[in-house]
Amino acid sequence: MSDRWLKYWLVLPAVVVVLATAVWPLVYSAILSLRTWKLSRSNIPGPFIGFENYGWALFEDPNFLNAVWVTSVFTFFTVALTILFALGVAVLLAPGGRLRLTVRTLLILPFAMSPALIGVSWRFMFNPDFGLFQAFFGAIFPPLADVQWLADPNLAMVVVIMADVWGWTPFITLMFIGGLASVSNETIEAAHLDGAGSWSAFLHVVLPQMRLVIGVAVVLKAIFSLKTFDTVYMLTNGGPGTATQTLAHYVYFSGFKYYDMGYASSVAWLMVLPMLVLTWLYTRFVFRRPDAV
Amino acid sequence: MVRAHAVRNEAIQIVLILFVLAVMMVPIFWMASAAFKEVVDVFQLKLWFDPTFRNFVEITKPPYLIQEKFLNSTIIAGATVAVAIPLSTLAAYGFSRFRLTGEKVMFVTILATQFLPAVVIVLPFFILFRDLGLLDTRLGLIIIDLALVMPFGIWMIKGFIDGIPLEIEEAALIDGATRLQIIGRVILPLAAPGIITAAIFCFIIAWNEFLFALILTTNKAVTLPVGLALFKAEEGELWHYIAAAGIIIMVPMWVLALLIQKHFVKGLTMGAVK
Amino acid sequence: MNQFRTTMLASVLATGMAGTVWAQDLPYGLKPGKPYEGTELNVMAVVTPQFTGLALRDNEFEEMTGIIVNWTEIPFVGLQEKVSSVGVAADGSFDVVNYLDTWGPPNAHWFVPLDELLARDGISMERYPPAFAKSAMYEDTVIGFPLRAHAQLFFYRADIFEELGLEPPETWDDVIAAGKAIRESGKEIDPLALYFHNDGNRQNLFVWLDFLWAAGADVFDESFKPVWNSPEGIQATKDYIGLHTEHKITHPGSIQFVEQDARISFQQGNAAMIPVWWWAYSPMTNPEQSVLTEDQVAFTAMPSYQGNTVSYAISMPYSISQYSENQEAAWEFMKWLSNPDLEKRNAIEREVQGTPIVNNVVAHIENLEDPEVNAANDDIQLAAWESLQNSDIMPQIPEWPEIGDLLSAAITEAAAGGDVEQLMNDAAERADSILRRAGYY
Repeated sequence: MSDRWLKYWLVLPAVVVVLATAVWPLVYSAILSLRTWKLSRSNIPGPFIGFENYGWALFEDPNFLNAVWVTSVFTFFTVALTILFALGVAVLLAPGGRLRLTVRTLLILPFAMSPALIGVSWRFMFNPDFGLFQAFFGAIFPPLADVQWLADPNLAMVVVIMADVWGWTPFITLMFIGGLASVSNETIEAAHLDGAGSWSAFLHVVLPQMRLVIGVAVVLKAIFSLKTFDTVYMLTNGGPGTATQTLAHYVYFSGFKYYDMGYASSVAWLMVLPMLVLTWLYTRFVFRRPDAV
Repeated sequence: MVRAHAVRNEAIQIVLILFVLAVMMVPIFWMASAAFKEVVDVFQLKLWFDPTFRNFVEITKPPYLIQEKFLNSTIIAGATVAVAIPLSTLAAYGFSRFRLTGEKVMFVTILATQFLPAVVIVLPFFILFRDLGLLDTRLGLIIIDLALVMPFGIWMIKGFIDGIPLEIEEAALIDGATRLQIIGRVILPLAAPGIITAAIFCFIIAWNEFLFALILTTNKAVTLPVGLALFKAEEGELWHYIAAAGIIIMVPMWVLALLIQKHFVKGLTMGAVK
Repeated sequence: MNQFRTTMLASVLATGMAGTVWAQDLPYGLKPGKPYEGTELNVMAVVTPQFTGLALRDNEFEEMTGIIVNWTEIPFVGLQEKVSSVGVAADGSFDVVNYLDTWGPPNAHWFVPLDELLARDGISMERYPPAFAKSAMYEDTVIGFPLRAHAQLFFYRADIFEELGLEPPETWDDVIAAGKAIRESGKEIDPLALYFHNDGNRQNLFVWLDFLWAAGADVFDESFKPVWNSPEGIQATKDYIGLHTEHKITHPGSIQFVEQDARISFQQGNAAMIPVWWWAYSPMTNPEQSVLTEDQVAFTAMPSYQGNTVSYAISMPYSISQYSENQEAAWEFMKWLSNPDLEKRNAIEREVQGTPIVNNVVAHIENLEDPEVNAANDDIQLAAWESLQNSDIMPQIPEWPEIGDLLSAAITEAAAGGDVEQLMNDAAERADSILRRAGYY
């Protein structure tokens, strides 16, 4: 088959599966956000109310704006820290050898723990009576020994970020190890021959060749950070107060706990906008190919 | 002089690696230790305790029956990956090596399907599946999981394929290979680390999926995360049971990781030899 | 919907009338002659020993009526969502559902009203303490039976109290005094374990309500305007928070504790007092879960505040789905499930068909006062009945989960040092706008 037709056939099955199963709910929820649907009043969506739900979220609901702030902070730090740590650990573990190989097989485990499990586990680890981390941090910094981490708005945020970064970094490290593999050794050797040190070689030779994988990781992690629910739910339930209530948590509670599916859909769609922007930007970055067919 | 430098460098690296190992594994060990403790010991900061296997036994009994949920999860996640990865690899290659009309829009739309949190789409799916007779079936969850993981699979694998230089394929094309042959013989081995990573990702996402499994299943197709949720009862978390189930989940994951390391490393070294 | 409901009821009543002509030779008002033999009922419930004990005995029900009961266990953490999905499905997939009483009002629109059935079969909701009965009603209609219902009790370390010469506290001032005595004794134990964290189930309101109601204040007035920020309400809130911020008799972790953390703290010997549900007694005295022995754990009714004791009660009722195609059979099941004899056996017998069951929950007044039930449970039912004498439940409006969470968040912030009055006023303002948007005024 000629390339001209093959390229569409290669892509078709996957695109069909995705469109058939995932685009319909996107459209449905967009329409739902323009209606009112309270599960507590009826089992089917109610009449159209236009952009009322959106208006309420943006102009009347302080919890929404709070959730936007919390989510922004959370996403920024988790993405930045995960990518940085993952890069470092990937460089550390990329060479061969028994120790590195053993550690590499263990990288899968933190990610295999479901986000809910990570949330519960970390909550117990900061328990003032028997929490492992409570004791640990208290031992390192005595002033921290009596601090109630999960009752302080800022510290609770720190814990939530830590738990999320802990869960994701090993997996992103795996991605980067794979990415490092496609960096050709010749370019690194050439840089060394030109007199560059390891650090400079890394910055100017390795990283640029990894930019596509890093880009995927950033977008991936950003999307998941924006959607973070289970970890927050189990760790702090958005508390203390609403200090760690992310948008995903707020959407969930609005929908299922407070029975307002119409409103939840509209807040969810407000979340979609930054993700769309992020993804579109990245797509332009990634589809810059000089010599494709 | 250079050797001493290199040795010191390596020593620092080993210290760092051990530190990373500790950070990664300590929470896991702590949780794992709870699996072997009696409840009364679980909530204490104790290093030494009398171990027991009771927790593992209890979670296989009614109402938990963790083994049934384990089986369901394995089948569902396995089938999802088995379908998603081949389709995603083909699509990723297509997006990477060719220019298609509307490619940017298609690409963004594929990923955009995953922007919405599950909560706003679970009820429409619930009603749809009820009408299609897919409620409480493994097939239903497989369909959902495919929708969840394929966008990420395509994106991730494309990222890896993009990193493979075109020269090798061009050489093979000149030698008369077809595209499909190239995908099978050139791309797959070189992109193996990336494809494996994507496969792990898709498996774990499907494995840990909770909300759809909760709403769309009742008795027959209940998966592990919903089973695990039974351990958060009125009294709070039954941490000893959660930990025991956690171990049962992690050990196969780790064995899986051991098995695929072979292909992972092969792909890595092949790339380095370039 | 209304027409359907009326027709359904009419036909049930008609069959009932015909049925009463025959002699009632089955207990609990069950229909003789197995008219629904072969029907299969699907019941959705959480996992708890009390319900396991009932489910294991449903062969008795099947023998009497020929109705088969299929139980589906749902994790508590997913129950609210699952019950909503049954309502949305609007099919007969589940005939009977179990839920938390707070979720009754939002789901009541698809539960079968039981008033006429109760009247026909001679069952009265007065067999329950008023708070329990109320928890299974909505807008003056009975929508279910409170199968699993709880009273608050005040637990304390009998050994420590004895050692320090303290009497069981009768007022919250007594609690403060005891707390200070424990602090001064230099013992390595914190006096009072409370739970101020906003956990998503409004746990930190459970004791707050005791203070609020005892002070004569309330959450809403008759037109559902928030009134918890009345002067009495603010003072009550301040006194509740003050246990931690002012008198400092609480375990410092209380500001991040949820109910489970506080109970664990008590069970591990890190706190000497805790106000919590009566079912906590069993794990507290179970050597597999607690370092405490039975002699060390004592309980009494909830302390009074400003001379009044009002306690908060909670329940997990069962209701019949309007979409069920077996509503009459489901009613038979409900009658059997909730009958006082079964409840009594379930609280006394520690083993059912080989499975160990430890349960002290009874909801009928006659069982709360029953000497045999109390003998098997260290008289905890009598103490609970005392707490229940003047008890109430959270406001029954569909919007309560949202408003309650607002309050819950405010309490957490107040306990961490926030301005109580301002937080309560802000919460009232927010609640007002939410209820306004929902069409209340």
